[in-house]
Amino acid sequence: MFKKILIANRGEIACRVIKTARKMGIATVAIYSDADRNALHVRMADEAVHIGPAPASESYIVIDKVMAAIKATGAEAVHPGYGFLSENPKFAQALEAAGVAFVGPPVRAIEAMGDKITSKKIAQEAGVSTVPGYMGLIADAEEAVTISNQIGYPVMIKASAGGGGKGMRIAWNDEEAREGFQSSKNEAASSFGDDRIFIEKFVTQPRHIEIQVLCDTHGNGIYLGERECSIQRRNQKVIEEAPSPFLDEATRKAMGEQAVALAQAVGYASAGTVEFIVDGKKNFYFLEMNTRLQVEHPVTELITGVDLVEQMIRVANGEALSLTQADVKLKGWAMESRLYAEDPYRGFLPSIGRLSRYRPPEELAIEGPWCAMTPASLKAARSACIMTR
Amino acid sequence: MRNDTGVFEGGEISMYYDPMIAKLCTWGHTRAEAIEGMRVALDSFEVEGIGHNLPFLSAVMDHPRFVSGNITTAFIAEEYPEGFTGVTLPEEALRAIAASTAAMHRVAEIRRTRVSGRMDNHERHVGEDWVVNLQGHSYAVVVAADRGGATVRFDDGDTLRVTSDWTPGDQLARLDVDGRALVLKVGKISGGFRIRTRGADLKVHVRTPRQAELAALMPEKLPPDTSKLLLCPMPGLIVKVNVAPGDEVQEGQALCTVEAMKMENILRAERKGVVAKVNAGPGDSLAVDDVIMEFE
Repeated sequence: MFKKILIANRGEIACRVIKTARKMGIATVAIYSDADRNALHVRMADEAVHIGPAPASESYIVIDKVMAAIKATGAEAVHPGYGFLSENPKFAQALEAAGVAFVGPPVRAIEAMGDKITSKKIAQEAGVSTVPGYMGLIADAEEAVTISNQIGYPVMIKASAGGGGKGMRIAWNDEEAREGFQSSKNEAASSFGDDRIFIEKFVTQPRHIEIQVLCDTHGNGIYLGERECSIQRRNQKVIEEAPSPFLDEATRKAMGEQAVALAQAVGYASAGTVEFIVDGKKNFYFLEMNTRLQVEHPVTELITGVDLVEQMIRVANGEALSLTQADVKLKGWAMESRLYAEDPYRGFLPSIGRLSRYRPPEELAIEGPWCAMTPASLKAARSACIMTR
Repeated sequence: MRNDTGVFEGGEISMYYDPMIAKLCTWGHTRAEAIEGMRVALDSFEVEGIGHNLPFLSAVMDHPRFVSGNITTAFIAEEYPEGFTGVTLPEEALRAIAASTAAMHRVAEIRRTRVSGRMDNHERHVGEDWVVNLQGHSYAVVVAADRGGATVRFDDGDTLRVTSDWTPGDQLARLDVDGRALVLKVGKISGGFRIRTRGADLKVHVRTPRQAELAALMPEKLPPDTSKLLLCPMPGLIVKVNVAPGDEVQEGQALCTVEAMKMENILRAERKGVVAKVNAGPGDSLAVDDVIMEFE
């Protein structure tokens, strides 16, 4: 096992990784910017390296500075958290070149899933269901009607250069498809100077449901159930839960197996998330794959009892998964609320300042898989909790 | 209950990074249990000093559509089209809060009578009858306290049993009201409490029957309509007035200049309008909220 790990992140996720690393007996290195000199993750880590001014573009996402910190501390592995450098293939490459383990998937998988069009193509080839659509150019309204019928109504007609709802129409029948095609084309031509139009299935009553996958470097892959993240405000998730109140066992299994198939198609090895959009009739379509640990991973940990960060570190160390699909049992229900520093009464404007009072409710795990896992992790979590007081 | 966080009391939320302070998780055998746990956890979470979305999260946890599980990615846009304006609590919740605050007020009043240095045999007697006012409702209650807690009887005969280890001064009250957990964030206001729970922010007045009788006669203080007035935002000296009565002003147009703290501040029109009256001239020294000019 690694002796020392560097966490190339800040905030709660850096603290989260430190907790598990400590539980596994691995020394931790934090990095920090000017603004984070006194931050919690710096206090919790065994060592901390200053890497520059407050803006992330001059500190946390500068690969050279992070590489210098790795060199200076002799860290053998790097956990990138989420955001920042977590899905940057150049960073993963730099680590590989330096002989440092990246606690994440191989470079090839990051690249393949990083591009929307490539990832959709790979998904289709791997037998994953994607939003049915016609990507080619459409000549006239009659062709649009034919294609819409092939896809099945309702369909969304949109400008390929579109954005912000401009040049976008929803059609429920032939007549609407004919009219929609013409008006979208006109709008697209006048707004974007590009009247190329394509058609895809319009997903009604959409839910955002994602599958957690876990793969190792020995060709094993499992899924750890789903998370429902439909409560969003402007694409920012607010409340997540696991399992989803909507899925049945058959849909869960189908989604899980497709997610694993996709991960294995790109040689994935680490924890990853395959996002789907699910309609009111439980049809599901691939959206994208996140090649990192997700913000909302705790709800999965709470119902499976699996420490995802620990699994990621073990996989990065070349170990084979100790779990098989049959070992994954979902128990109970978990809810996550994201507490944001934004004022709901003022249109959710961000709010900054000093926390004159911060007293979270006491962490308690009397029951549940997370608790059953290890008393040590609970103890670690508690000691971190005491630090926050 | 699990809380993943990267901040601590006294720490600073900086403008440079993501505004997420913490991720609060609850686990239960069922979805209903997990939601109930989350309601209590959100109510128990004390965050002050910055604006935060705790009231909104609480509101969602009590939203019937969320509770039913019938959610889509459009939930927030559909259910809160005008943004979030706060929560109106149902009757049952108001009664639980009324019973709790009556019992809490009684404890606080008794403690106030125990101030040292009073004349013997002249202690103020703390009664059992109280009138609780909150969210436009008024409840007359009788508080019967015993060693274990208090039984609060409403004038319609309904009773609620309240137990808690709250002592006056605590900012968080964990109560048990007829077997259900209730957690209140408690602040002090004149004649009662500021109570925050379940996404609501309430002014709760607890009065004796006689006080309540008199309070009902008090005129309601209405906030003045300031939309047609230019108020002085800080104590200062008028340096220059740029407009005269009858002038039409456009949004963003400079109206006058106020000097305060050695700095000149230009006050601008918030919207288009016509100046009706100018109450102050150059050299006038004004206090906060003094009316500088009026619009038609």
